[in-house]
Amino acid sequence: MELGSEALGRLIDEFSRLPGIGRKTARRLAFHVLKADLPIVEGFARALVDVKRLVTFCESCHNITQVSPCSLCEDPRRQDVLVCVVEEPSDVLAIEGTGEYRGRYHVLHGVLSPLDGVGPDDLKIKELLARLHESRPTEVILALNPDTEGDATSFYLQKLLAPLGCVVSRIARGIPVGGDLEFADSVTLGRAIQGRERLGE
Amino acid sequence: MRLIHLSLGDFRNYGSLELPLGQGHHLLLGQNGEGKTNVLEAVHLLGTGGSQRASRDAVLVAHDAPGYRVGGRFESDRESRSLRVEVTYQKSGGKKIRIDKEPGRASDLLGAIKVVSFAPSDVELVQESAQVRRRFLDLIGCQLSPKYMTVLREYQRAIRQRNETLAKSFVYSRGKNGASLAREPWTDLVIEHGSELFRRRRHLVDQLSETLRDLSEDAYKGGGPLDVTYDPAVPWDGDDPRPAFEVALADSRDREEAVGYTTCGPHADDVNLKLGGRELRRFGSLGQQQLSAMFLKLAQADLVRTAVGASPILLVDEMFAVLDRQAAEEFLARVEGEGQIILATAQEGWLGELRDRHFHVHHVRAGAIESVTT
Repeated sequence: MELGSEALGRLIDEFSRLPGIGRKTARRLAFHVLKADLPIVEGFARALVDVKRLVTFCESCHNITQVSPCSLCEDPRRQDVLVCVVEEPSDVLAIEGTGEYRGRYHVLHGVLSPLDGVGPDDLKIKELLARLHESRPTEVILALNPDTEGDATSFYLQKLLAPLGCVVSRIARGIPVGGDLEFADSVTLGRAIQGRERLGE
Repeated sequence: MRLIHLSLGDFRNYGSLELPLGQGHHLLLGQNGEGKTNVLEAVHLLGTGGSQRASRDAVLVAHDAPGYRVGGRFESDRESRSLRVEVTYQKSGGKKIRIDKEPGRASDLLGAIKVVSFAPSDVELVQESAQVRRRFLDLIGCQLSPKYMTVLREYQRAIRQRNETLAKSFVYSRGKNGASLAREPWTDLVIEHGSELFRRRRHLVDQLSETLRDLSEDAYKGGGPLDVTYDPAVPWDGDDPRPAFEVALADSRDREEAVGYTTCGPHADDVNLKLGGRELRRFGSLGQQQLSAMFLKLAQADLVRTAVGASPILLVDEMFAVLDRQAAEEFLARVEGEGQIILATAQEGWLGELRDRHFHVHHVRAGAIESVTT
């Protein structure tokens, strides 16, 4: 179909490159941009460029940040003796959302998965070791997803961290708060029973 | 537990089927190729999440349709509440399981609905490779305990990941001992889940063996009883298979690096079947093998009943083709007092006998079913 504008065609091409955006949606978005006021479009374009130019990874914890080291690593009120290891930056947000944790973080950017071609060198593991050698925390919390790959990565880290002599722990797995035991899947419920805790401690 | 309503959409040779099933047993009568087995297959699918005949869901879809739908309403003897289960599959979107409208997994189906299927092809349990017997054991294990299914799944996943590090070890060979370091966490997981799977399979075969001995005591007219023993890929003494498994994995290192996959572990287990002390696969007659396969399935039904305290639904496909009259009658006598039976046959000669045994009759013709009201 003739669009009458090469620039419009280019914009449609760019939109359709985004995940989850098909040709039709890309066209709708492009026409939306065409109709919008110039300052709004300029703001949008700036935001796109800025996110690429300004956001980087923290040299210490490898979380996303605009200044490195990031605010979480620099915050003097947080405890250095606790380090929580997570898979992705979004997991830091999730744990921060709990308000329960006041230690430091380390983002691995993935988990071991040979089937996806991910080995130890593809994760921020060397960086973790170097960092822990220096900061000498008393406990490292492994907060990886409770699946086969998360478990394998936890095993791997546990062995690597053993010589450091600190406590290596793993987050508990179990029943969601407000959940109904009757509707919990049997696997989760089984694990929750295995990892039960004593009352009054 | 019994099935009280089955509904099919674009499944095998059924465009659309609503089949109400009342109390009691049911006979599906029809010529070959009319769709009797497809009904049994659909019920098996509702109880296990998969087909016993097809390994791919796409072949279950009726000709030219985009997907299939199988729905069932089940009732248990103890509760009056009925359970609605639905399995749908779209060629474009994959398979979805719903239990009382909530999304679920195959493990939920195995937990909620118990079916045991009998078919002439059961003789493969005796004649074919170890894989068939492992699959049979695993199905029982999963029906008895959801934990078995988790252990099995996690073991299989760990093995696939570990095999990848063996097959592509060059990718991980960076640095000193890179490849073996990258393999180590997977080896740990394989040992952890594998040891658990070994232990659970041994326990399962022990239970199976005991049940079989009782069931088949007099069935072979002096030739029996049927004896089943576990033949683990790594034999061990005592309660914990772990130390032996660790040693066996360490010993097979050179070999697995040469072939590029994990050579020892529960995925190489087998089960030995003996009749009167002789290996059934090599020395048993075809008749003895078929009878033995039936006893294995009867033992499965027995174990499920003992574990959950209720009889499973028995799906019986054309057993009269492989059992002689006397064996068939003994079979019926054994199972008719149990839970619901859905039986398919092309042999009209059985109609009278099954009517006498209070089977409801349904005529199956070209993807349609006509129920005889009594």
